[in-house]
Amino acid sequence: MTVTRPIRVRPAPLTRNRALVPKQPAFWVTVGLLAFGAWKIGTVVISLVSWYPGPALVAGMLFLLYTVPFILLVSHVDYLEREPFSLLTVALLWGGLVATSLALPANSAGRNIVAKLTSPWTGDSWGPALTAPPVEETLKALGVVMIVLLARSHINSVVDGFVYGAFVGLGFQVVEDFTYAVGAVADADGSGSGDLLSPVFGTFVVRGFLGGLWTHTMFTALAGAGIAYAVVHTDYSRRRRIMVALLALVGACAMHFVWNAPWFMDGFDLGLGGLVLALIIKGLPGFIVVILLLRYALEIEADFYTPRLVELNDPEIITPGEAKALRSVAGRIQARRYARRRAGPRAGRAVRLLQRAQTRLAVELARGAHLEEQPTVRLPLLASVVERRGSARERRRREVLQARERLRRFGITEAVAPQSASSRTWVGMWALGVGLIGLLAPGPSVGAVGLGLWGLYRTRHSSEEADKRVVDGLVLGCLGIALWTITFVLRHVNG
Amino acid sequence: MKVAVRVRWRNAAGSIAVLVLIAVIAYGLPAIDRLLPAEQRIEPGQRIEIGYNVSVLPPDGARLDVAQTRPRQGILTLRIRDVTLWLRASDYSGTLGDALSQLQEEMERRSDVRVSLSTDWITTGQGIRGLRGTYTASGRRGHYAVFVAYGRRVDVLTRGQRLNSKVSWEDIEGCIQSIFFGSGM
Repeated sequence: MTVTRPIRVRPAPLTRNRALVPKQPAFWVTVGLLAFGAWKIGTVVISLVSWYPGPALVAGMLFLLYTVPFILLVSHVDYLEREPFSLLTVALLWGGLVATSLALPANSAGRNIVAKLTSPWTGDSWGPALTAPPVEETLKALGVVMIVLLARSHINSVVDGFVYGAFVGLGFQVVEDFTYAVGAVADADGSGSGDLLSPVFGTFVVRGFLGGLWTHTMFTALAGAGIAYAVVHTDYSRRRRIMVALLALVGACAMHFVWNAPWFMDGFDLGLGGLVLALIIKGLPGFIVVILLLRYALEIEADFYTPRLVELNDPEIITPGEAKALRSVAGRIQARRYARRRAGPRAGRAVRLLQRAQTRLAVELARGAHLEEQPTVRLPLLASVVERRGSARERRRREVLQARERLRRFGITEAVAPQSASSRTWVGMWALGVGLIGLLAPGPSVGAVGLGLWGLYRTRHSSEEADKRVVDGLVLGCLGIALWTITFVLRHVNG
Repeated sequence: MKVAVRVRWRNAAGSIAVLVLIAVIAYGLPAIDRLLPAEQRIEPGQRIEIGYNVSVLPPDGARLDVAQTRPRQGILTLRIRDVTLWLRASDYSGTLGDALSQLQEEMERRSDVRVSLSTDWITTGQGIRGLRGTYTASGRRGHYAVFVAYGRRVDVLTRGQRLNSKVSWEDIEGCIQSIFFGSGM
C-alpha cells in the first residue's frame, strides 16, 4: 500500500535548468514590460534629477543603500533552497519599473473616480486608501505570477513566494520612496525653505526606517506566498488554491488599506513622536501576522529538507542536534555564536560553512528524489541525468565531510548551541492567538498576558517543557496593552 | 515534443492573461475616469476651502474641478467658463518678493510660457496686498498672482484663457480678491 504524503514543498527540478528561457513567451513579455517601465520611470527620474540634482542624487544613493540590509535579510530567510540571482533581479526590476510605472496613471485615475463619486475632500483623504491597495498590490502580485510563468520549477515552496514577493515589493518601495523624497524637496522649495536636503533625510527616516519594514516589501511578500501556495500545493483542488492566493492578495490589500487610511495622520498632535507611534500602530499588527506566517512556512520547508540528511543516519553528515539547529534562522545563528564564543571567529565561520554544505547536500538529495520513486520516469533519457545527479550528490557529501573536518580542528564535534527543548501546549497556542488579536483591537491583550503568565506558572510547577509560544503571547499581550494605553492616553490628552 | 508545445501555449496564455489584467488596471481605470464628469456645481455664495485654512468665494457659474483639486495639498481648481482658475495655499516663511520670484521660476520651468516680469499690486477684501502679473503661451494668455500672510502663501494662476476669451481679468479679479486667510490652522 502506498501512503501519499501531502505536498507542502515541491523539490527542485532534476536538471539544473536555466531560470530564464528566451523560448518562453513570458520571457519576451517580461522584457517588453521592463523596457516600457524603464522608459516611463526613466523619464520621471530624469526630470526630477534635472530639477533638483543634488537632493535627487542623495535620495537615490540613500535608497539604493537601503536595499542592502533588506537583500541580506531576505537571503537569510531564503537559506535552504536559494533562488537564482536572475529571477530575483527580475522581481526587483518588476517592482521598481513595471509596477510603479503602471500604478502612476491607475492610482491617479482611481483617486479621481473616488473624488468624482464623492467629493474632492473624500477623494483626497480616502482615495489613496481605497484605490492604491487593489491597484498596486495586483500589479506587484503580477510580478510574482510572471516569475511563475518564467520559471515555475523554481517555485518550490511558499517561502519562495515570500522571497520573490519581497523583492518585487522592495523594488516598488525604493522607486516610490525616491519620488516621495524629491517631491518633499519640491514642497520645501515652494515653501521658501533654503534647506533642500532635510526633506530627503526626513523621507528616508519616516518612509525608509519607520515604515520600511511593514509596507510594500511585506505586502507583496504575503501576496507572493499565496501565489506560491497555489503553485506548490498541487494535491489540493484548483479552487482551494486559487482561493488561498486571492485571500493572500486581499490580506495584502487590507494591510495596505490600513497603512494608507487617514487614521492618526495628526500623530496625536505630538509631532514626530506621535507620527512614529501612529506608524507603529498601523504597521506592526500586519507585520507580526506576516512574520508568523513566514515562520510557519519556513518550518514546513525545513521539515522537507532536513529529514533527507537525517535519513542518511551518518553523524559525520549531520547529527540530530545539528538538524534541529539547521531548521531555523535562530538555531543556525545560535550554533555559530556558540562556536565563536568557544573557539573564536574562525570557528563561527567553520560552523557557517558546515551549515551551508549540509543545506546544499539536503537540496541535492531532494532534487529529483520524487521522480526516482516513480517507475514511470525510469526512461533511458533520464538515466544519464539521474547519474549526473548521483555524482553531484557525492560532491556535496565530500563538501560536508571537509567542512566537518575543518570544524573539528577547533575542537568542536557538533555545530549546535546547548538549549532547552520546547514543547507545544494549548495555553501557548491561545496566548499567541489572543495576543495577536489584541494588537488589532483593545482588550484581548489583557487576556493574552493572563494566559502567558498562567502558562509560565504551569511550566514552573510541572515537569512539562517550556512552550516558546507562551512567551510570544505574553510579549504580544504586553505590547498590545502598551500600544492601546498610549493611544488612549494621547487621544484623551489631545481631546 | 507535444508536451513542450502545450507548455509553450499555456505559457503564452498566462502571459496574455497578465497583459490583459495590466491593461484593465493601467488603461481601464483612466478610461472610467474620463467617462465621469470632473466638474461639480458650486452653490452661489458658497465659500470654498483651498486648504491651510484659506478660503475663496467663487463667482456665480463657476464649477469645481474635483479631479484637479487636492485639499490636503492646498490645491483648488475652479472652471470659470473657458478659463481654469488654479489656487494653491501652503505654509511659507519667506517674503512676498521671494514668493513671486519662485512662482515665476516655477511657471517658466514647468511649461513653455513667457512670464511678464512687470507686476501690479492687488489687494484682497481682507486687506492683504499681493502681486499680480501676466504670461503668454502659444495663443493663450493668463494671469498669475501671489499673496503672503500669516505664515502662509497663496499662488493663483489662470489657465486656458484664449486671446479672444470672453472671460476678462475683471471677471476673475473679484474671485481672487475674495481670498480669505483664516486665523491659525
